[in-house]
Amino acid sequence: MEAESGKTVEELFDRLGEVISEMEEDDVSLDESFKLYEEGMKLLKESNERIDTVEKKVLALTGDNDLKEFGDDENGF
Amino acid sequence: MKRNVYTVSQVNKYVGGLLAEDFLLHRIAVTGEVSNFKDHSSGHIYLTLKDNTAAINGVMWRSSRPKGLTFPLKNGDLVVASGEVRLYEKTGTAQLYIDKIEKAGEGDIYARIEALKKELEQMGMFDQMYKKPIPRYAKKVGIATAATGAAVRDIIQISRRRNPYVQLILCPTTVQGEEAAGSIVNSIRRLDSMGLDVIIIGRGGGSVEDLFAFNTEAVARAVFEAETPIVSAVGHQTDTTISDYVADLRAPTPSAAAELCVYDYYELMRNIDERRSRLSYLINKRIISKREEALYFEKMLSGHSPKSRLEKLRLLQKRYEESITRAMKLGITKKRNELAVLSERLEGLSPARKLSKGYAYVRDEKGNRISEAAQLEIGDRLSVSFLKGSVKAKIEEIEDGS
Repeated sequence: MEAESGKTVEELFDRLGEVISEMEEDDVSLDESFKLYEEGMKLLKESNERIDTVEKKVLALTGDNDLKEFGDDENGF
Repeated sequence: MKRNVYTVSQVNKYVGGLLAEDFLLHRIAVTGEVSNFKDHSSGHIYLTLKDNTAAINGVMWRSSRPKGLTFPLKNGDLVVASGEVRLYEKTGTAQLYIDKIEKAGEGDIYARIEALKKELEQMGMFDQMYKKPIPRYAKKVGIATAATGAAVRDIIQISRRRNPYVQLILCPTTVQGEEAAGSIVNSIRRLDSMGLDVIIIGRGGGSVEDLFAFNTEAVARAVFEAETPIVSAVGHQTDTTISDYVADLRAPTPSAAAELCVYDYYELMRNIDERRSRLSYLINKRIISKREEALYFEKMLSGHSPKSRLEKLRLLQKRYEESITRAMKLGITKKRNELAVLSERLEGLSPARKLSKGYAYVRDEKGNRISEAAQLEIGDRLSVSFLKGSVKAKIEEIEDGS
């Protein structure tokens, strides 16, 4: 689940939450909020990249430990 | 007062109804010693279960025998008979309608499970501290259950609906019967070695015997020792097996397990969008408020800026100038008028006018006007001014003018 920043999606999301609540503080300077904004957008970009969007087939382990496609028809669903 | 009187069958029917509704009697396991065992020609089995103080009659219909009785039964056997207690209305006696008879002692499955559960609990295998957190965004999910049947189908359908991008890896497992326990342990180990994010083990509903493999020490140990977080989903909502206690998370059913392990992709996307718009909203709000602030300062600044002050001063100056000149003009004209008036009066009083009539203007040496002879003495010097010209004079003689 790690990627370039080595952060898991959970960590990315938790940090994102923090960034947003920090920006909601009203005593944040303009530069500070720009910095936070940039970090937020970077976190969003990375979480998006991290979300795997390749459709997967269900696989099944065979006797000798390799994987074959676990067909739906075979099991009637 | 008229009493209600009932017939015997009404009473028995009523009592029968009560028994039929009772939750416990509906599905009960009774242990006792077999006596009056009769293997009836009809194939039905009649017996009495007794302990040292009581006895109850029991019957097992022919249809329940194949699955229900798997060993030769004889009087004196200590057994556990499970079935339902109903009233035999003909004789008004409660009777056990049996669908399964097992040898008691090693046969009493509940007692053995309880014993094992206590033992493992004392060893700390259920402690919360060993529970690994289930990852919120799993990408690879292992499944140890039967390759056929409802459980695996439900898991696959639900996880596909929630997130088609998660990789499901099934390890076909025997979940019932003698080799079930070994098969489950094997599947857990194989899946555990694949570095998955989470493993779901479980099966669909069944009797306590059907689920028995999930109540064995072997499976409990395999679950406990696995590196990968394990979600145990065995049987129906109400069934709880030892593997549920040892696992990192218990899910009431296989479908619930799929929902706990496979995050909802679409919900995540919505969440990401919400956060993106939240971010831009916040930054815009901040920029707008800063810009307003800047404008305000600009206004204030320009308000006090030297340029505008100069203008203000210039304006002021102009205004003063105008008022001064106006005042001046006014003053001048006023003065001129006064002057005119005064000069007229002066004119009127002016000695010159008198001089023009032959009078002279006499002053002493110091320039003081002399108006009476008494002011003078002989020898005083005087200056006498005529309309035109003036003379110096000395007093020769003073006549008393008084």
